[in-house]
Amino acid sequence: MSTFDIIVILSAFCGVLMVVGGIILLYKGIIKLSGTSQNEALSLEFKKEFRVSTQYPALGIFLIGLIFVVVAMIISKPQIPSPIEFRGTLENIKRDASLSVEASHWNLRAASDGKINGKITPCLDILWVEVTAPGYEPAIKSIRKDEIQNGIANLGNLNLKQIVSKVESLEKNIKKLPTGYNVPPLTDSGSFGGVK
Amino acid sequence: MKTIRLKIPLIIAVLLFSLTLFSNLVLAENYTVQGLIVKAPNNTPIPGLTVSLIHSALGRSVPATTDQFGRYVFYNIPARQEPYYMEIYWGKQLVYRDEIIVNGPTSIPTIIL
Repeated sequence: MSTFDIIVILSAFCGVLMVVGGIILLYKGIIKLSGTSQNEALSLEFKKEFRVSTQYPALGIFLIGLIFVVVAMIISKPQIPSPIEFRGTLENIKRDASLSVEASHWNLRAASDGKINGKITPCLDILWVEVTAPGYEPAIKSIRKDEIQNGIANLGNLNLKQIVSKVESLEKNIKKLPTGYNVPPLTDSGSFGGVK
Repeated sequence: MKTIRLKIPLIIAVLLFSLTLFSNLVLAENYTVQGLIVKAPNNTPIPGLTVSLIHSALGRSVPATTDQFGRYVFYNIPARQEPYYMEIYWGKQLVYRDEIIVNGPTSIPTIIL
C-alpha cells in the first residue's frame, strides 16, 4: 500500500467520521438543524469566485464530510484505459488472419548479486501490430498514440506475401484421442502455459 | 502400548501424504516447449499456424502462432507424467495432432506437413 493509498483511505475515513459524528451530535442535540440568523450563517468562499452560505450550519459538517468521501472515491477510482478499435483491410486474404498487438518492450538489468529490482512505467505511446495468416509472411506495423483518432487505429490496406500454399488435413497426421478425452474448443483462451 | 500402535499408522499416513505432496511439487515444475513446422517437399517454414497443447487434466494451453521461420514456443508448461497432445491448426482446421511428453525443456523434432 503506497502513501497515496493511505491518504485516500484516511480522507474517506475522515469524511465518514464527520458525517457519522454530525449525526451523533444532531441526535444528542448539541447541534441543531434549525435556521440561524443571517449573521450566524455559515459561509464558504473560494477566491471570491465561489461562495456558499447556509443558515443551517449543521449541514456544513455533512457537506465537508461528503466532499471528503466523494474526493476519495474519485481519486481512488481505477483508471481504465479507453479501448482502441483497429480497422484495416487485408487485400489478398479473406479468412484465418489474426492480429496480435503489443505495447513497447522494456529491458531491466539484474544486479551483480543476481537480484532483480527494477521498475517500469507501462505506456501505450507506440503499439506494434502483427497481422498473421497461415502460410503468409507476417506484416508488422507500428501505430503511434497520436495516430489513434477517436479511439480508432487505422491500419489501412495490408498486403501479406504468401509463402506456402494451404496444407491439407490428412488423416495420417492426426492421432486419435483416447475415448472420453475432453478437449476444450480452440476458441478457449487457454488455461495453462504462456506464449510471447 | 496401545497408544504407540495407534500412532504408527498415523505416522505412516502422514509420511505418505508428505511424499505425495513432495512428488507433486517436483512434478509441478514448468518448462519450455518449442519446435519448427515446415511444409514438404521443400521444407519451407510455415508461418501463421496456430499451435496448441491439450492435456486431460489441464485443458488447453494458451495458443502459440508460428513466426515467419515456422517456429513456435510455449513457456511455463507443467511437467506431467501423462502425455500432452499437440495440435496444429491451419486457421480453424486441424491439420496435425500427436502425443508429446513434457518432463523437462522440450524441443519437438521438426514437423513436416
